[in-house]
Amino acid sequence: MTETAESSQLTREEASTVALAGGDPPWLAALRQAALAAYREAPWPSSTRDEDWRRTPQIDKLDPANFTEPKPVGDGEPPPYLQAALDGQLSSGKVSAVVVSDERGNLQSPLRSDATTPAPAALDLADGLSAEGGVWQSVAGIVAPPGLRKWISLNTVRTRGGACIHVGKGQEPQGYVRLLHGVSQGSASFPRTLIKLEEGASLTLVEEWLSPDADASLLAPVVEVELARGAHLTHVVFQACGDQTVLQSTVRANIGQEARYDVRWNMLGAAWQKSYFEAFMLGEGSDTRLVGLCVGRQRQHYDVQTLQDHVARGAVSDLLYRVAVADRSRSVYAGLIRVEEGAQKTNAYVQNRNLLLSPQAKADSNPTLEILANDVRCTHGSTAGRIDDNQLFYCESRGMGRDQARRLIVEGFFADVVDSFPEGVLRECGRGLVLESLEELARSGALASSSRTA
Amino acid sequence: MAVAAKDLTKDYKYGFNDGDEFVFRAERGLSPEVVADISRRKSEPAWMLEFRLKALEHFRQRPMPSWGADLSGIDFDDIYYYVRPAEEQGRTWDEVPEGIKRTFDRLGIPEAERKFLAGVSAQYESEVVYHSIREDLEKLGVLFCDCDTGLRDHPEIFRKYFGTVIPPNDNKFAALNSAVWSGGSFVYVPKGVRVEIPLQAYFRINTESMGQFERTLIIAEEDSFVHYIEGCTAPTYSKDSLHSAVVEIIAMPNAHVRYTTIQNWSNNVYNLVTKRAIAKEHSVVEWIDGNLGSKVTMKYPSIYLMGEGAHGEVLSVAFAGDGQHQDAGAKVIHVAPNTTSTIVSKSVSKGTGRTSYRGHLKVYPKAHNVRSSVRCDALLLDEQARSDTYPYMDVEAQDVQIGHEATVSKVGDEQLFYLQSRGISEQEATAMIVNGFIEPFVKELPMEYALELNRLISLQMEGSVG
Repeated sequence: MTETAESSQLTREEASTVALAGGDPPWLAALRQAALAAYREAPWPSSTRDEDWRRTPQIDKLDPANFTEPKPVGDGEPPPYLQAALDGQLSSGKVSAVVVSDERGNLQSPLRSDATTPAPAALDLADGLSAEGGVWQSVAGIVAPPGLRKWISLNTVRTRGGACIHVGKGQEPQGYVRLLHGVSQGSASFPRTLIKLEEGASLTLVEEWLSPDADASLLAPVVEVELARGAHLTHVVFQACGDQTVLQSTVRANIGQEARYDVRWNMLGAAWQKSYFEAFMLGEGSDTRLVGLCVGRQRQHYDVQTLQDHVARGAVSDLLYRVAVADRSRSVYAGLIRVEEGAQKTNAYVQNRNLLLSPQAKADSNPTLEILANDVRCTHGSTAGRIDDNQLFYCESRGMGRDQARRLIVEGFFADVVDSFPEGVLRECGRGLVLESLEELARSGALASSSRTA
Repeated sequence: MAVAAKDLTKDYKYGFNDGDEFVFRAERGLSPEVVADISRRKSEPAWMLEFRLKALEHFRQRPMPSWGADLSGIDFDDIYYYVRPAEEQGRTWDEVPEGIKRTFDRLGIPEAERKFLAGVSAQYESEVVYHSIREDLEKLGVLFCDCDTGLRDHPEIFRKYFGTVIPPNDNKFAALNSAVWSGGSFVYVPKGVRVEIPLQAYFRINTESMGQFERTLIIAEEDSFVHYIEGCTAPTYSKDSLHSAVVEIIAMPNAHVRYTTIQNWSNNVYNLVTKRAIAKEHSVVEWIDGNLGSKVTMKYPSIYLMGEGAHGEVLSVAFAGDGQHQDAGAKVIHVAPNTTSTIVSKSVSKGTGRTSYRGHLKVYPKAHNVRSSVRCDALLLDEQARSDTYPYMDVEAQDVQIGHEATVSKVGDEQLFYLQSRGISEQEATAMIVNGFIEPFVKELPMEYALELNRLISLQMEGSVG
């Protein structure tokens, strides 16, 4: 393990070769240097030493240095798997802007905002960070400080693609912004997304994390969100990575007074992943809803860790996370509700439900509470179980085959999550992806494996 | 708040001390010599000395736990590991030295009450000073004595089970206990015997900077039943004491063991206890665990459900007042199929008190048809109070029904309003609500313990609202 840690250290020279197209502005270069120092200082995560990684020993054998990093190409053409996604179902909605990146940096964005007014300022990372005005200096490395975790440091050092999205005071752009972050050909990619909504602004943002099948690769996005007073961000994540991809994602949001942050995730791909979703309720009366689903098959491993940190009083946060694991797949969930001193009148909830579809599948659930104020209502619930025999019996007694019945029950299990996606194309796309993955499970016979008693 | 919360140590009625009276006290600190000396004074067999020395070695190598409560205040070199209060153990109450007898009388274990119990054991410092068991039970072959006597008089049973449930290298404090253990209870219930009246033990630390390391071993043979109750107190000193017990329970097929603890150490005791039970086929093990006192408690009673159809239950209450940290919880490991478990934890934090529920529920791959439910409720009474919930759940079997729920809240305004509108003062109303909150626990206690607990809670609640 020491070897892994050693070889994954970047030299100063190497780091300086990573820069945005057109060069880093001085403040970003300084941030990268600080991140590099932090990266070197921290040991590589360990499943035996670090609580965060205890149930994900895959980390011990992972070495980012094993993935190649090709030379950046400014505005290259999207490779076929990205092009296919670009032309996919999500393009049929009202798209106001598109930003695409892969391991080489930002790619040509084929579609710019059309007639929609007012359009959000959606820029690729280089354009955004180099722009005058210093909007991003208060976000980049502030919401997700380098040094907090190894993967944030590494992303800060090596990012060369991503997006900056800024919505001005009171603006409510129509439709949604699409961000596609991909990786392929044995590479590692570290996209960075910065989102800033000014007072009263609102935005729907769809992120797609993608990679082709059968290509070992590493995708490690970091997303930083800052919501000013009364802003509302709907943030939808589709993770449809290939079966050999390792995903390491971090989404962190600072939520201002009476602002609302809606996160929806639909994660069905990747070989294994560790995903952080972290919301900081900094403003009084803010409201956060984190809702997501995962379906695991074969030997997939989903490790999701969430934080609802109530700093200000009178905020609400709700989390609903549903997981179905088939074959030998495994889900690891840890969710912390933390109520800081003085954050009275907090209302926070976590619900994690796990459906075990095979005797070899595993689900660990670890919702935790740390409450330092007293006038609060904080609750969590967690369940794990197989398909209910009574439900199966009900369906079968109405003439359904066992496979069909099981599929219907799993579909129903996800209904709450799917229905919470924004109405229209996004919800349909989410539902479609779930159905597709259940279809695949049924085809491979993973749904047919019934209980021992059957 | 008009009235500041009262200094709880003032309310701790067991905080008196009776002066240091002892016939022998080992030197401060821990060394192989101290361990060997304890073993020699107890005239132990060689294997036990070897066991102790190995455990000491392990204790020294093992780092302090990096999780849980703050244990930085413990100075292992400043503790008396062995204090012998009397030459001989009393068989009748008259044989107990006067000073110690006075202590236990002040603790409220009057003679009359003892008559209603099947057996009583009283431990003062490191040794059990008084011990009795009802004759009819003795005739049935029930053994109830201190662990030292168990080792001496019943070596064949003792050695077979001792250290098998909790090996010395289990954790740092189990290792410490294994090295310097003294006293505690040894209970053996033969096949088919039902001990319908509880056996009771009472533990008392009196010397300043004293460490009490009792060791309890309970073996319930097939189809037997036993209910064991222990209570703990200590005087209030300026220097901290350490209590680190090990409790091992073995429930043979169809046996039923219930273990009730009301821990009411004074607020300067570090209470770091390892409790574990093994449950064989169709047996039932229950931990009823109340934590009111101590400065810091780290205690997670656990049940290993090894036999098919076994059932485990943990019911616990923690109350943390100013400066206290109750890091308590439960651990249930489902190894065998068709096993069931229930965990109910209630905690109350007051003033700057902090309660943590730390649980672990594990279901092994072959343990199919497992059912388990975990419920944790916490009540926060003051702004500075803190509550944490860390329930780990590892499920490796598919055919299971696992549910976990936790809530944290304050005393409901509506409930308070309802009671106050009926002329009850805010303080009384709060105490009533707290008592109602822990009711599921209290109703499982024997009457005298239930009354005592309610009284203690009321005492802790005094002056809490103004």
